[in-house]
Amino acid sequence: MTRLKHGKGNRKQNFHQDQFKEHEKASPISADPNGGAARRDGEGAKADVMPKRPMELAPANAPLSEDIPNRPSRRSQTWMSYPATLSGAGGPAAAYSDGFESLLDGLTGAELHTAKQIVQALRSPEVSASAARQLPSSPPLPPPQQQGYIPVEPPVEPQTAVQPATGFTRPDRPLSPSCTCGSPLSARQSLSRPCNPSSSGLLPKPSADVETSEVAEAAEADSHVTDRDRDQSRDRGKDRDLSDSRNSQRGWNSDRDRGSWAGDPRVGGEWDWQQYMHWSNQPHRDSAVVEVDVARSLWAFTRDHSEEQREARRRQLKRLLNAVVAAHEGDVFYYQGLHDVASVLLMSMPGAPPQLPSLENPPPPSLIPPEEQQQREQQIMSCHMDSETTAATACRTTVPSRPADTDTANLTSLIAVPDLDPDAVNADAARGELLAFGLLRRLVTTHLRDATRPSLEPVVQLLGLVPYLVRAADPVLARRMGELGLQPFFALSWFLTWWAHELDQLAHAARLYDFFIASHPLMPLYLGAVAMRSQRAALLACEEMPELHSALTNLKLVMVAASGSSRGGGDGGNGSGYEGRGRGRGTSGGGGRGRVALEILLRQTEQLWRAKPPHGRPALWRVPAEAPVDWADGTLGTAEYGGFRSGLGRILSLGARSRAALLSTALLAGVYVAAAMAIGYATFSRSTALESGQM
Amino acid sequence: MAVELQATDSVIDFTIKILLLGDSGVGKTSLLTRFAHDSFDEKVASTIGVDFAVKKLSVYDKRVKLTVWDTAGQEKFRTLTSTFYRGAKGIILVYDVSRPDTLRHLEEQWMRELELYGTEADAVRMVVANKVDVGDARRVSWHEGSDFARRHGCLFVETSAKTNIAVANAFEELVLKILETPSLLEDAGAHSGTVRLDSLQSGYGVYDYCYC
Repeated sequence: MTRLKHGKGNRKQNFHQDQFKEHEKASPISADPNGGAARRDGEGAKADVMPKRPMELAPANAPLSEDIPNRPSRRSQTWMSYPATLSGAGGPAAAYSDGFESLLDGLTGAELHTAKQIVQALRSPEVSASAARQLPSSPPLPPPQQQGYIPVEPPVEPQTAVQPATGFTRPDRPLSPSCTCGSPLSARQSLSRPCNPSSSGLLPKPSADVETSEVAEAAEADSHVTDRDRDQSRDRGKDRDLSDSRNSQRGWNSDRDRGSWAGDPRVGGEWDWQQYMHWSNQPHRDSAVVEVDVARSLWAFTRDHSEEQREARRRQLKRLLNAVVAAHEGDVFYYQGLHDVASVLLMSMPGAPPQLPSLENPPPPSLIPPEEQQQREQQIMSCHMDSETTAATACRTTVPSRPADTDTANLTSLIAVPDLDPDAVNADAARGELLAFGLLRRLVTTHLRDATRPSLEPVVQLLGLVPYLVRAADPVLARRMGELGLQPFFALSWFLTWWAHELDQLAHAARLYDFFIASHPLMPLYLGAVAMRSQRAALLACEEMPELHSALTNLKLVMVAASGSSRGGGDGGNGSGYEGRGRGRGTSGGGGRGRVALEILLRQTEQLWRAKPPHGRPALWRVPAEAPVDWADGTLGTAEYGGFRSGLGRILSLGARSRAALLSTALLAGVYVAAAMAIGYATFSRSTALESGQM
Repeated sequence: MAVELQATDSVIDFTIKILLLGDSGVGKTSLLTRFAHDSFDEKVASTIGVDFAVKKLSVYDKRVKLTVWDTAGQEKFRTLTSTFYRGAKGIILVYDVSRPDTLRHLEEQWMRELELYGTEADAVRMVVANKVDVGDARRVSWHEGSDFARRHGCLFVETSAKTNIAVANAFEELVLKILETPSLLEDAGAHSGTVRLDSLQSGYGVYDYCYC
């Protein structure tokens, strides 16, 4: 468990810094033509934003950034940890406790910078710092976006061990969304306006709702220079204005960028249990589909559950899905597969099902006297110390820590009022459900945005990239696919469910989700290409298209990975820079074979992503409208993939804007040609006139 | 009448494509699993996208290879599943006898889809009323189902994938009907031994979306 890593944080961080420097010196992607430019960019950006600590994730204006050395277990925090039963006897999980590390590890230049911004947004350093201070064996972090959690402890000065509760207000409004990464593009947003962890501790007051944009700008400037820890007056409306105006300034697609918050005056906040329940009871277009999907869900992840527990989890899942659709008011549409995503999130969050035996059915935290609450915390923690053998314990120990000061009752009541629902008499379960809700609510408008539109057409378009990815990973396999006429629909569930549909172990799914959340939205497809390569023998043996399709839809990632690790994963040919380290990390963690192999697979995925980024140059978080030009070499195309458009066809098929640009260019060229002809004619006639004159 | 062939039997007279349609959760995947593997898994998950199963049968001295395409039921997946209608010789429309709305959707949505996307005018259609094992939970009578089937010129069978009632019969009946329809067999036998899926030749839609 993560507590075993307590105290190792600094050492690990140094380790990563060393690795980072090593990468800067001798980058493994030096052969990549895109690498140079990206690294240059990244160095520039790094010099601007992070002059002191290359691996420091907190932006310079974050008040707590000075606190890094005082946060020993920061790196050991993860919001999506493995249950103890799945992670073995404590040791193996250590190497995997933070999915972000492995992502950052090995990134260079602009990617590293961007990834760090994202990770910083996803993590909640405040909580981890304070939690580490309060509880040495602190459980994993809540989901990083869950600013609603942060008020469980007031923002503190780094050195202050016990926080006086001055200036801390109880929320009767939702928390500010300003620090959430609301879209795939908002990583860029966070570059300029980093998610300020201190602001997340603020609780908006309902009073000052209307703000002009100037005030918003002033407030934004304010937020960069003042310590917002003490400033409780930021309200959500202001932040909303701010984000909107910024978006419009940058010309971002408001459809993508507008998160779940904008323009919704009656948002009660995602930490409001009543509001959540209200949402979860709203009917929507796909209510019936949710019903039948949930009814046959969770088999894989609840194998050790009783039937009642599984049903309780399903009720949670159903609420979660209905609420996330309703919360976006017709902007987000359920799709089959979202329930798989939601189930991984839900099962990874704290909160055992209500029926679990011990420490169950406590009154809502707001009703617990502080002393009792403290005792319960200690009880939980001691239980955690004694035994890590049951999933129930694991779930319970992932309950986010609450400070045991006099404000405990106030603070814990922020999260949930679960006594409204008979299913959720367990406050922890309700809390976990709300956490999963908050996270899912972000994902459906960011990574999974293209799947939550009214139609899956955008996803079908994205799948068009799959043959190219496979070709980049394994040309032979790609040719075989082309010969058999296999359409890339097999990859649909990879993208739609983030592989949760294929995996039957929560630990593996959680590891992957860590990876995907911190990655480009297309990363599941990259992983698919790498996974196909690692099982190429079996796939090449398929003689017919349906057979190959079935083999691919049933691709077992972990089994695949195991075989890949036995072969050293080197058959891809371009994985040389990663196998060694991947293996080293794996063995040092002492994890199971499948786990190690999964890590190797992820390394290879990163490598493929770096070699064939979905953009011309590595830059995170933008879904491409088309394949990069430099992918389109002649070998791929007519023969294998049924038509490769010519250059002109490409241009003509572009959008109206491009067409207009083409036309104006052609017009300009025509003018030039006409002028040249006129000059030539004049010269010619003059010379002939001269000649004739001479004659 | 219909005898299952060995999977290794490579001599095939006809290759027939069959499409399973219907709302989510009516049991399309279970029907397919029952038919192809003669098993029933209570823990079957939702189908994401499409799945295939292949089964070889010997019917009337004809060796037939069935390619059964199992599709996701949700409306959002129609953009995807509509590309699979092409070349389907048999269409199985499934509803759940415990959920009347699934039969209603067959009428309101799936039939319309079929008119829109189906390429074989003579394709044999069959309405399957699944889950007849539910007993008292049954909400759609035999008459309602058969009326619907008759109105739309479809075959009608009541099945239960769970208790293995008439699943194989349903597929056999469909195949027999297809074999009795000469127009459907014109191109089905030309490519014995290989699966020739017409949609892949001209309807290779995915790659058309990719601007590369």
